[in-house]
Amino acid sequence: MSKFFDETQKAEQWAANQNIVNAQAQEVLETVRQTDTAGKDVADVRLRGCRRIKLPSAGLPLISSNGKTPDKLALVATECYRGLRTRLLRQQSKTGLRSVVITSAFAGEGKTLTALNLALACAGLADQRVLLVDADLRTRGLSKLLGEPQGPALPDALSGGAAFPDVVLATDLANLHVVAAGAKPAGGNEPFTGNRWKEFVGWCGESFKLVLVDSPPILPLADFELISASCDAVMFVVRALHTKRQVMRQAAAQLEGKKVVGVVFNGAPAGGVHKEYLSYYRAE
Amino acid sequence: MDLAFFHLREEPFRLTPDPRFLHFAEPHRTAFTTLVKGVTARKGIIVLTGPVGTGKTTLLHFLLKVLAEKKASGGPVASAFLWNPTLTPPEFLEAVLDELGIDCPSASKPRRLSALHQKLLETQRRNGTAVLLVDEAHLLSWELLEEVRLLSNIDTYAAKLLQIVLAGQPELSALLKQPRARALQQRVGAQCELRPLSLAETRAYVAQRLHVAGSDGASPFLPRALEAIHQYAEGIPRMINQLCDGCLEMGFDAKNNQIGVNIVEDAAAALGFHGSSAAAPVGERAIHPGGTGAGQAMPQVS
Repeated sequence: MSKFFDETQKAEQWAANQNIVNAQAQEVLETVRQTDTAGKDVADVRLRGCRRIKLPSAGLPLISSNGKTPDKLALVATECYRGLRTRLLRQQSKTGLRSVVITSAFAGEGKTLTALNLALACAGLADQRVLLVDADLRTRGLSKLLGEPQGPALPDALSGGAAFPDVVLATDLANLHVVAAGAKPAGGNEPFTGNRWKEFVGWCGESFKLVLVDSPPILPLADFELISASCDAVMFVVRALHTKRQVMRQAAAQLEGKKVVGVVFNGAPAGGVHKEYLSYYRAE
Repeated sequence: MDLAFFHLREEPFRLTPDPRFLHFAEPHRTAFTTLVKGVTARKGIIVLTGPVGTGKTTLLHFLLKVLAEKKASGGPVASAFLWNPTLTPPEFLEAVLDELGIDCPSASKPRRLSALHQKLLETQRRNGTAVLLVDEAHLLSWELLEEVRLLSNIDTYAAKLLQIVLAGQPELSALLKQPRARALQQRVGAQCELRPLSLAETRAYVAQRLHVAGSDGASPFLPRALEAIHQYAEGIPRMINQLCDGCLEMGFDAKNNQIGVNIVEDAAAALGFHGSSAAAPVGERAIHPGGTGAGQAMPQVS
């Protein structure tokens, strides 16, 4: 038998074990990840000693980070958010975007929930440091969901009253940081008119791979335009059976076409998902 | 230049492909993951393309460094790095053997190929990895592309014994798409592409480099200056390095440790950078970085 043939036989056995191959790749990438980040990461230094909040596990919507088994619908929703994450990250890989504004035509279409769940989904990945910013200074919906954290918040950073790192809060999810909207509702759009907002978004992009901005709705206010002008991309949330076509057109007309990375069709009727799918997700 | 003036320990924007300074921007991270997976999964030929200065050579150096340090498969690593592939086929084979450390006194092709087989099989037997890296692969002649294809034929049914990484400018993918290169193209197991950095990535890149060079967090570059740097350098890491380095020099000469737009403009002029679309609004360029690579950065692992 040819010597070459003998050796190839052994090599085949080796290669047939895909687990080994995958483990090797993972091992190498893990080494890189460690050398790449251990103390070398600019964000580690900048965020050292930032305040910490606990994610309110009970109040959290569909993706639970506390290990409780979500119900059927939550599993489907989790999959949907992961799908959204995949699409966003693909877009990010193509264009190098970092800051995404999440908005809708009017209030109550699910911006805040989408922003939070998308942030949780993204922060679940290794190497994906995510910052979630509550830029809806009037309603402060996200900050309320997060238990209204005290201390310096976004308006202070924008007025110059606080340094950028001082308004960033760590959470019990290592990859997720948040910026709250402050204790009192702030009126007017002055916070976003100056250069500080742009500088803040730029600074965030240096420390975080993804910055998700929960913004006020597009239509009744001028805030959105100011907020999105400094960001790379816009994600538009539309609530199924709720947002009217005419309203959507009107809102869409205000968006810079190039910046729109996606439209989220929120709250699509559950009937659209077949029972078999539910059991499929459950089995996972 | 006195580095302490900018609170730095080392020069942050050196041009040599020093793996320590490799900052993984998104395109580099995805490309590198594809390279590592391709090599460890014995994919055979892996193609890496990207415009001039995007960091191909640096990635190859880093790949070798990681493979050597980690010994990817727990076994030995035999690697050959060809950085100038304008060779004749016999020279090419000689260079590969030489780089792999194969001692073959005979100049006959069968002898050399047999020596190469021996080495590859031995590496495989000891659970090792043999990898051939060809930089500037867009310069390969048709003859050499054929040689590469034949080298990639050294395999078992299940795994390639020699992993070949072809790195080159975007012309390389065009070259491989030609009908003449079909046989080779079909053997490409994984492909990845580097693109210029977006504004946000440029900022992160500069911040990271300054950090590695010992900066205490306060960047000498003002936000507007970073936007100007991104425009003039067109998001190309090598040009970003040159321009930032030039800015630090000029800032130091002017005893100014806050680099503003005017210093960037002067440094760009001194380097002869014009910034192909300096007139385009920054916001737009943040999404659509200049250059041809944009839009195809997703690695395709087949």
